[in-house]
Amino acid sequence: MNPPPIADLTDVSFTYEDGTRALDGVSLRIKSGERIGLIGENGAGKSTLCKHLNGLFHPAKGKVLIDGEDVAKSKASHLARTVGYLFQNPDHQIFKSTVYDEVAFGPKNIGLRDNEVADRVERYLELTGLSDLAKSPPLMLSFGLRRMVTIASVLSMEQRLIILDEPTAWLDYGQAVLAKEAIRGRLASGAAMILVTHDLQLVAEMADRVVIMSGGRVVADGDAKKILSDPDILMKYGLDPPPLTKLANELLSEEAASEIFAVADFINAVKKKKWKASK
Amino acid sequence: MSIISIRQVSFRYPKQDAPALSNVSLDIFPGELLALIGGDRAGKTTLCHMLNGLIPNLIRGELAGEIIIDGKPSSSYPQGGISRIVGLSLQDPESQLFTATVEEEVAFGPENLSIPPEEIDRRVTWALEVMGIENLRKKSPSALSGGQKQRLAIASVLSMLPKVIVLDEPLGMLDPRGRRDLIEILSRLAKEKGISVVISESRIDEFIEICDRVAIMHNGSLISSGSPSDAIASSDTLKTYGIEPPRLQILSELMISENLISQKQSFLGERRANEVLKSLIDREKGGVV
Repeated sequence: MNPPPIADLTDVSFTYEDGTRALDGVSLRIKSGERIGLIGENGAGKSTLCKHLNGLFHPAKGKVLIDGEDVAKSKASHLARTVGYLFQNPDHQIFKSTVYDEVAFGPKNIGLRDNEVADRVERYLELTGLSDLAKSPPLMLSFGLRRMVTIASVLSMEQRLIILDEPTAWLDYGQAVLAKEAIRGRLASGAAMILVTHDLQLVAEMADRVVIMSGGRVVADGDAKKILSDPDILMKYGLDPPPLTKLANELLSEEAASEIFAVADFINAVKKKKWKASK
Repeated sequence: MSIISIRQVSFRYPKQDAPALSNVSLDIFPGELLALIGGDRAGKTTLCHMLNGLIPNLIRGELAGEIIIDGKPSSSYPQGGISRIVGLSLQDPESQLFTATVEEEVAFGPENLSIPPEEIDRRVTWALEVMGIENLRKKSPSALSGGQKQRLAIASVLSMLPKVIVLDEPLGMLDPRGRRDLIEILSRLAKEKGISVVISESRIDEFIEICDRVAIMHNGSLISSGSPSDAIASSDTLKTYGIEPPRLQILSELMISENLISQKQSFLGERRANEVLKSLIDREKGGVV
């Protein structure tokens, strides 16, 4: 028998107290180890959807299963062993007085032994470049470093599904490189990821499946490269393609343009003169 | 003449060893669009807080040098006095939202300037439309998504129609269309209304081409200030300052090193990239015939 999907949503709807219908009949199945880029305009329902996966919200209608278990019947502490959530705003999740304690909190709470906790904390502080700041109070750090602390905290739990809401926003170049490497490490160990972001270049780098949401519904779901190289579908849902994709679609043949995800791809196409046919 | 003049300013937060800013001098001129770029802890946020008087009037610390805003030292303004001249949207939009509805949030600033109600209403509608959140007018700010909150925080600055608009990392939570719309409107405000716009960012892909001037900060110092093409001439240098180089600039550098285009044809943004590549294609196609 196949293992159950790590997350399975069936016909999920949700309305906020002020009447805003944020999810409208969403069905989505996420297999173990899948890397999903969840994209869509501001207010499309992306964060609301994710908050159903860790039990923060319960659906008004429909069902959410995590690892085969109904979220509505699971305790948050139980779900936290399987699902990790990096919030957009680091200040929504930081509450300990040192960076070390902040990162140790999760592993301690899932019952790891002291030496295992210490191991994890040290490993993830190093991966995120925070080892020297272990004793600092997180709230005295810059916004970018506070985000790095929360990334270390989430990754140190080593859950099987990690939800990352704009993981590289407000990080500078060096921090973003470290964060992406640390996340890739978790993915290589088989964790599934839902990457919520407006940075389509980041989606191209990290995801193999793309889900587009609009008005509380899933409006596209498929192979990441196929969707990301299709300016028409991106534009339709208010998502401007990245500059390189736009340039490729304007100048290169359709076939060549669909293969452009990095600068090196573009250079190769130029060398091979894969230009768009003249009108 | 400059609207804001920062002269040899250094600043250290209480209980911190290292200064947040060291001997920074920078003038901001009417109607210019200035990008303030740099990595984490470069000093961008501290400088933004200085441009609207939060430092030193509200945030205390050890300050040296002069901050002149619209002809007067910033410390000589009464509380709230600078907000008529300089509007600031903070990096974390939630920290500046506090009213019960979206429209009240945007009206709050102009109401404090004793502007007639009809004019306030016009400004609120305009700012909400510009930021694409007119449909959320009656909602509670707390019910908005992260990106919508960011749009609202910026709308609240726009409705003040200040002489200078300072936006500290405004693009982080905006969707791509929101980013493009914001950049377009800021550029129009600068050109048509003579408003100075300062955008602090560590990612510059989308707006570098339309800036009049780019100032690079690193470890509390101002490294350089000049035209976009001069300021960010090398992607390796940008990386050492913690700034992600624009992807099209990397493309340009690689095409030069592969002798596909000449040094003179280097490009930063989409418009110029398009021109250069089209001329390359025309030349090659011409060569075939």
